[in-house]
Amino acid sequence: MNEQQIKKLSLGAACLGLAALAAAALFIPSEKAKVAALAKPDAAAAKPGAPAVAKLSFSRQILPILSDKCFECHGPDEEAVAKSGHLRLDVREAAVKKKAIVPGKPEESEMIKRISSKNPKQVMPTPASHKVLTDEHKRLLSQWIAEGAEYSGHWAFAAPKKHPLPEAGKEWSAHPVDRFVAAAQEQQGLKHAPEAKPHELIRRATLDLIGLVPSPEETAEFAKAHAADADKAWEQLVERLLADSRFGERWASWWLDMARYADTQGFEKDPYREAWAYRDWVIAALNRDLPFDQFSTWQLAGDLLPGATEEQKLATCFHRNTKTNDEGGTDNEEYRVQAVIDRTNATMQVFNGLTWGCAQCHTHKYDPIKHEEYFRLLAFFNQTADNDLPDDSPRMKLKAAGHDTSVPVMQELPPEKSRPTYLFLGGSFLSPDKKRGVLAPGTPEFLPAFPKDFPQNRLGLAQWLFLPEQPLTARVTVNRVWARLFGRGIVTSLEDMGLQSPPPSHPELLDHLALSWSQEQKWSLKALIKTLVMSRSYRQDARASKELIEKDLYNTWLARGPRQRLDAEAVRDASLAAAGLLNPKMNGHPVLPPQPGGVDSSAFGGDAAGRFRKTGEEARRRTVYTFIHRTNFAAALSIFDAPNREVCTISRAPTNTPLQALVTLNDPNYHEIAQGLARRILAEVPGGDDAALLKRAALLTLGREPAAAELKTLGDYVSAETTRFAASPAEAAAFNKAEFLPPPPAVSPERLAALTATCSLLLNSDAFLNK
Amino acid sequence: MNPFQLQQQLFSRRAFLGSSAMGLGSLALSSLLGQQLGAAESHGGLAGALPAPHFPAKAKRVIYLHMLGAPSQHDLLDHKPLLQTLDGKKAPRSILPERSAFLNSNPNPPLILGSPIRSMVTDQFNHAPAELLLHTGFPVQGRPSTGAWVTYGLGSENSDLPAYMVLLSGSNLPAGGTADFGAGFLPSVYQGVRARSKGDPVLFLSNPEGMDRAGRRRHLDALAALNHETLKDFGDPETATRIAQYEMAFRMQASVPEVMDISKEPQAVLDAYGAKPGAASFANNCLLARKLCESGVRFVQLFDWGWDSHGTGHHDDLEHSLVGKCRQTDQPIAALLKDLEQRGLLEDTLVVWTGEFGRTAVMEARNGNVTFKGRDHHPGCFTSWIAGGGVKAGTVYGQTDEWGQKVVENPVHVYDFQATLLHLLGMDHTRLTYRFQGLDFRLTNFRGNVVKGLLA
Repeated sequence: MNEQQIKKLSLGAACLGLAALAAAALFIPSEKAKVAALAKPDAAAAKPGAPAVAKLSFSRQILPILSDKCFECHGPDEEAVAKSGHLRLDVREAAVKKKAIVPGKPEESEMIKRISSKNPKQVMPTPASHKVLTDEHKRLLSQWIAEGAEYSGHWAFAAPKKHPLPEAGKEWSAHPVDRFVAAAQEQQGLKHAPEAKPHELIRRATLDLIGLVPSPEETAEFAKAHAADADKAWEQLVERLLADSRFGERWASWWLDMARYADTQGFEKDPYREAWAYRDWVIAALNRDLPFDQFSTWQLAGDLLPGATEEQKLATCFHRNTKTNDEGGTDNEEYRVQAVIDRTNATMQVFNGLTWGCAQCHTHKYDPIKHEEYFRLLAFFNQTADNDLPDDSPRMKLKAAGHDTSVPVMQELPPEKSRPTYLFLGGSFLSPDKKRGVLAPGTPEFLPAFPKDFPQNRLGLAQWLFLPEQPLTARVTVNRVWARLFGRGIVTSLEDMGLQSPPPSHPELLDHLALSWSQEQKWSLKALIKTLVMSRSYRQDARASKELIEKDLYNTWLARGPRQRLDAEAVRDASLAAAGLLNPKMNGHPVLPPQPGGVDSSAFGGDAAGRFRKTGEEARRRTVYTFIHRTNFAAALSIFDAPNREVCTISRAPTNTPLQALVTLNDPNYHEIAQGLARRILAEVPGGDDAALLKRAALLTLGREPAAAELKTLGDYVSAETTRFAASPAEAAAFNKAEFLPPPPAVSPERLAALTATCSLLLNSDAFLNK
Repeated sequence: MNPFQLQQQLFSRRAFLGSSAMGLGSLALSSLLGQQLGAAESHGGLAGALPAPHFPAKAKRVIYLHMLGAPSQHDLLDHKPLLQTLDGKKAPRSILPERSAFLNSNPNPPLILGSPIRSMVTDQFNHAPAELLLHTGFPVQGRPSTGAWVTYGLGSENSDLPAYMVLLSGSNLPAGGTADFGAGFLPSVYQGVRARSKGDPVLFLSNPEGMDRAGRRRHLDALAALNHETLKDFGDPETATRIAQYEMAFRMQASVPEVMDISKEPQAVLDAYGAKPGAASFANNCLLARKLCESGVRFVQLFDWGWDSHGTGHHDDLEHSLVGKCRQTDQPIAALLKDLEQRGLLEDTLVVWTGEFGRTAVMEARNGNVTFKGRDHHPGCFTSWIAGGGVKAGTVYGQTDEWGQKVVENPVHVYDFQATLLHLLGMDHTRLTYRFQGLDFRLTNFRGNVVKGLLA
């Protein structure tokens, strides 16, 4: 932010919140100092004629400080409050009554005295808490009290509001996403980037929507259509990709991380669990765009729908993906309860972005979730018939992908067998609070009331989650879909939208998207995705100047297009597709491609993957079908940050490591892919010279012809290696050995080997490994 | 620390180190997490989140020996003469545990070496949850393991090897699976890298057949040329990192097999450990642990399977199986400690020996079978030992009752054990935190006290 922008900021009162927000989101020290200066009441007053500075926003500027620094002891948790002078700071009345806050008079407020104290016995937060208030925090708190210490709720707990479309960016785009993005850019002194090149656009969209790279023909065709009518060509492309059945295969992995879908039970023996029909159902449901409210309701309570269909019951496997502990000597009730706890926590995490699990042992320290409310919500899930048995019963038999199979499903106990739910003291199932008595199912007070006419079971809970006044449900999923496309969330903590979450970079945009998705688009995921990718913001060039990187490393303000490393599934799938080796067969039994180092067995267990180990074409299925062995998860996927599905995973932390390099260079599965790609270009460009072959290889992998410098590097490499391999026929033969590939077209061994090594270059290039 | 602060912290360290390939002022989180810090820093590998330890560290690295299955404390390090006098008699009701996995006494003492804590306590009495509690501070999967926390805090001491390596013996994975050495919610760069006794010592180290090291060099040179073009074109700092990571991979291809090769060790050393090149054994792993530590690996985790002495048969009883396990491990552990000491490594290396829980004073006699002697799982007390950097040598810490069932003096919960371990490494367990889901998580799960009585 330069001086001019600061001036601009001080002119518009409404801008202030945004600036502070920007600084809060960026945590850049220099920015912080400037914003702190802006926040001082005298900062604007110093400028003649400037209007008075706007009041601080409690929700965005004060509450995050109180939550992070004070609420652990002075928040919703009464037990902690009882040990902390009985002072609550999350309720204004209580804080004022105790004189911690004297509205309008910071100097008389005990809070300000304590946070400014130099006496280690007096100062707050206590030194033992390791929580530190910066000078800026202190100044903000002081100003807020001076302004009257008004409270309001956490922004994400109030229903999204409609916001007028900003004027900003009008000349750039009519798309609402772009207008909100442009408004924020204006505040930041940033400008949008030009559109990416057509081949970059189709590659980005194809990877994001179906998880594969486009064929050279698709790229050429798109480029042509784009030249004729860019917007029309783009829309047609997006629609084609959304209608492609590979869309479901791509987006299923995202959902299956949250559903913790795996092919084994977890824990010690970790045996096979037959549940793949559920995975196939998720793929199919995404492909036919089952509206998200129904998609969710079926998974939470499909069995309780009137006249429930087989498919609706199958969907309930969502909550039967919990682990089963079959270790000898375990208490089934203990692990049944653990599964119920997992279901309760995962429900609130997936659908509401709340760290519900924190309230298992005590009232939540930050979010207003009472200990008892935790167990009232758990009561919805405590009535199912499953009981941590080795056979995962109850299961439902069905026919899927041409096989007789079965899946574990949710099944309610008959009323006469219903279980009483108690609060567990300290969260332990061995300490039910019988004095408090049996708890009826219920939802937390701070969220919309549970309608009286809703059934008090999982179905009622699902319906409650999708009430129009629900503040979190739409926002949370919109934010996650956004992050998949743009690289990071509008709220960066995809798993948490509670008080401890970082403030949204584009709050009004998030509201806009949440409302339009849940109302106009009727929860259609495809419509939501289309909206986002149709924006000009998504279509921007990803190139960044040094200045832009310095200013906006994470691309928070979207002044360039998204560029991210392909995720674990896409790295493998796109490589296989580029080589023409991907087996497109959909659905059915899980498949374990050859794993290094032979068979590893889990503790006490046999080889759970057993009959699902495959080689050759049968192994080259899309990664969504890879056998997920929880305690012994496929290394090549884990190295690329895929979770082993032991717990509900909302987001994967992307890394960039040497072990990843070793996978794509040396894993025999990847060597085979490089061999396949070399064979493919030889077959597709018969009689082609090096340059022609290399161009084809670059088109297949990068979606473009190599630039002159690249072509020189590749060309020099292939000719030097051809000479070397010609001098070492044994090495060429070893390098070309391919047990599971058809014989290559007529070509000398040295040329085949050199082309294979060159194809490996392209498959390992940064240009290939990123979207 | 949250992902942002982590990035900022790592970035500010980086900032002092001069610019990256493009002179970019900053790098993305994933870059920093996998970065090469370059020549400007004494070592080069993975960066740690702490700019400096919280206080002077007594130990720099850890060798953690986990005897999977839970060794019997009575028969090893917590000898109970009372049990000897009562052998075979009916156990008093008062000492039977409230909850147990199977269930019943026999002391039969073979021995090993150490400075034991006899008053270890856990909450869990099944293998998987107890292992997870011990390693991750939580009995359910999803949290980072101790080695992940340590490397997250301190980073790597070398630029050619992973910071956190895992060696298995006894043919089985731990019951808690890879989560016992996983990164949980920390970035996956902090997960333990499993070394293998067969094939590549670390996965995918070997080039495909037909490509030698010189060939790989040429390959990576061409790759770097391509990637530099991309870096120039797009200006993405991740590209600079990727170039550096491929170079580290190349160095690992040479350094890992070298450090993992024990065949060049003098015969006297091999004999001292009882190690045999090419074998998959705990003895080999002990020797490897020393070599890895010497090469700057921060955390070496050994898992040895086969200590679950239920007495259901010859394979898991106290008189045959346990004696056999002691014969396999006694000599190599003694050799490891002596070797570390002779090389001056013991003074700043922490060696830990433990199971995940203890065993009952009474005989299990599952299904009334008393042919073989065995004991059931017991969380109420067990014995671990620690040695090396900063540990008070030659103490016996804590006491159990005459039955070896309850702690009567100085209980050490696994949280306290974890807190002490971090303390010896220079870290305050209440300040080594990572923000996930809005909460500052830590290894000790908001519990744990440093056991001062164990500190030198």
